Order: sequence, then C-alpha cells, then structure tokens
Amino acid sequence: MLNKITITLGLVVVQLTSVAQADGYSVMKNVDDFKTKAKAVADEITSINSDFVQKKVLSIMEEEIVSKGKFLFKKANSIRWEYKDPFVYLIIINDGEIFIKDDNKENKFDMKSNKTFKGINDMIINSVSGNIMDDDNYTVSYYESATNYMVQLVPKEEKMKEFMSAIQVFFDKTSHDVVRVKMIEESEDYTSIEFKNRLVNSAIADDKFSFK
Amino acid sequence: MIRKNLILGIFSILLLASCATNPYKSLTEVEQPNNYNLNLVPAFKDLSKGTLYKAKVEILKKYLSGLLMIKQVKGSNRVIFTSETGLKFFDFEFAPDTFIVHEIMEQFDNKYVLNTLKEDLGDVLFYGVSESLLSQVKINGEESFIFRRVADDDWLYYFYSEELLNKIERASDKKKKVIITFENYEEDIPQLINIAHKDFKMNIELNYIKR
Repeated sequence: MLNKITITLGLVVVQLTSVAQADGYSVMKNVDDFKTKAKAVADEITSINSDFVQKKVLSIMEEEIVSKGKFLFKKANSIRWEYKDPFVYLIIINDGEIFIKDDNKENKFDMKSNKTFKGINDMIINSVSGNIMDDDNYTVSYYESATNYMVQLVPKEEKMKEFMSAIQVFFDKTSHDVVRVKMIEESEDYTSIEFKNRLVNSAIADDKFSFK
Repeated sequence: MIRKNLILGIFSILLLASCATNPYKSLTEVEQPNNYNLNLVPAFKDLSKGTLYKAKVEILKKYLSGLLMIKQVKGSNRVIFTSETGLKFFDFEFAPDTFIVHEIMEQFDNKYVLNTLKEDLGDVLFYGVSESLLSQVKINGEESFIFRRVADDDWLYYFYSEELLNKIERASDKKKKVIITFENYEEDIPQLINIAHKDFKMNIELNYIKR
C-alpha cells in the first residue's frame, strides 16, 4: 500500500517537473509574490501595442511556420490581430463579436453563441494582459527560469482540450510583462507567439477595432 | 399523334443519353509502340522541403481559410491544414499503401467531407498513380498532351503543355466531377492550384507562400 502511494506520488512529481525542466524551468519559489506583482502590472494596463512573431512548430514536418504582424489590445475586450508577413490576415475581436478579413472575404461571428470561441477569446485576452492567475477553467501551475516566470494553464473543459492541452504564458522576470504565449496541442505540436517592441498604455484609436 | 409523340420521346431520350454519356467530345486513344513506358510527371517533383500554401476553402455557402503544408516524410506525403492562428484542422498521411488520418477537427470529421478531401488532395499529390495503367488520349479541340487512368469508379485525365501539368480532371462516364488547375510554375512549384467541384459547390484555392 505504502509502496503504491510512493510510486503514485513519485509519478506525479515527475510529471509536474518534466514539463518545466525540459525548458530549463523549475517550480516557482514565491508564487504569492509573483501573483501580486503580475496582477499589479496587469491592472495598470489599458492598452498594448506590440509586434508579434508567431511560430507554428509541426514536429513531424521538422518545420517552423513563422509569421509576423501587429497586435493591439485595448481594455476591456478589444483586440486587433493583424498578420502582415508572409501572408495578410486580420482578426478583430470587439465586444463579443469576432471579425475576420482574408483578402476580400469578410466574416463576422457572434462569440456569445459559441462557448468554445468565448473560451479562447477570454484566454487570449487574459493571457496577453497577464490576468490569468485565478481562472476556474484551468488548472494553473507556476514555474521560473533565470530570466522568466512561466504560468501553465491546463484546460479543464473537454472541448477546450481538443484545441490545446496546455497554455504557457511567459513573463519577463523584472518587468512582469507577458513576453510570450505558447499553446501546446495534444500531439505536442505548438504555436508560440512572442511579443516584441511592446508599448503599454499608448493611445490607440477606436477605429482600429471597428469592422469596416 | 401517339406515334409522333413516341418518336419525339425516343429521340429526346437518345439525345439526352448521348449528351450524358461522354463529357469529352470525340475522345480517341493514341496507340503507343510496344513496350513504350508512359510516365506521368507530377505537379510536385520534390516535396522533401515543406511546401506551404495559403488555402481558401468554400463549401456550400461556408468559407474557411488557413495554411496548408505539404511535405514528404519517410516516404509518405503528409498534409497538414491549420488556421492562420495555428489551430490544426487536420493532419493526413498519404502513405504508399494506406491513407492515415492522424488528426481531424470535429467539424471536418464526417465521412463525406473526409473522402472528398482525401480524393482531392490525393489527386493533387498523384496518390495511387503508379498502380494504374495509363493511356494517352486525344480530345478534339484540346492542344494539350492528355493521359488518362482509371481511379476507382472514375476516370482521371491529366493535361500537359510544355511538359508541365496544367490540369487534372476527374470524371465519371457521364460527367466531369472535379477540375484541378495548376498555374504559374516557379522553381518546379505551381504557385496557384485550384480545385473546383462540378457536382456541388465546393472550391479550394491554394496560393503558394514564399518564405
């Protein structure tokens, strides 16, 4: 009996640490301190204007698909996500509606009617603004490296799990800004979005989030 | 009067039947010398490096776009379709003797959609070409070199000009079903591929992404 418990505990520990150690991360020492500081930074954010580099890693292909663009966020829930290279594609999320423009095709959805869409939307908004610590929809664990903090979210809902098995949000250790978001699929393929030239609380015109 | 109607009736049936039986006017087989080995040149000569397309899919009145990656992996052709944001729609493997679905999103996971995608992408990739007999044919009014082979219950026609594949047509004995065009070859890669279905509203457009 005791052996069984030891083995189970052992397995849990190995599982908990394996994700983190693979990336040079270990379990975060002072979670409360990190949470307080990250929350203070997130609370101050009214807007984000940032370049992004997205990497889609398909392990079987031994290939990275890299795309770049511009990311805008304005409180409470407006997002403009614009791919510029090597293809053009625009997503605007505003007030529960999602607008997609691909060449001349325009599509509009109401996210309120789709729980999964809403889940993804909330996840994006909350992770880029660093506001992810107390989400009941995820099992949250905390890690750190020499330069970064990392918060790992594992979705509880089955539908969300189909899209991603885990989301890792990376924070700069000194500024507590979100610098990277990594979405990992069940197959271990992943999408990593790195934020560069991040400008916080600059003025962003409302029409950037309007559907023309 | 009855007789006249009967003749008219028979005549229109014959007319309809003759229209319906051959989608290609005056098709003739070209005789090949003995031991002449016909060989089809595929659209992609080398897929060892990943080839990426921006894909636009229209099914009935629905529209979907994304990125389609094609790559040869361990003797198979792997096709992965994701959204621009990285969400994976499907991951197919065209292995030499079998077709494997590694991943598929719920929305695509129905027999009809899956078979259509398998057939369309398989045709683009020349899946199964080596196992079937080829013949060269001539079609009136067509300048291209045309080859055809049997594919399950259909015929597949391959149109070449200047040794480049510019069209594949899938047809039954009665009508054309799918027309796939290949345009603007650069460094052995068609920059534009279009897959158009004739029997229902479905179109896939693939635009090559230079990286």
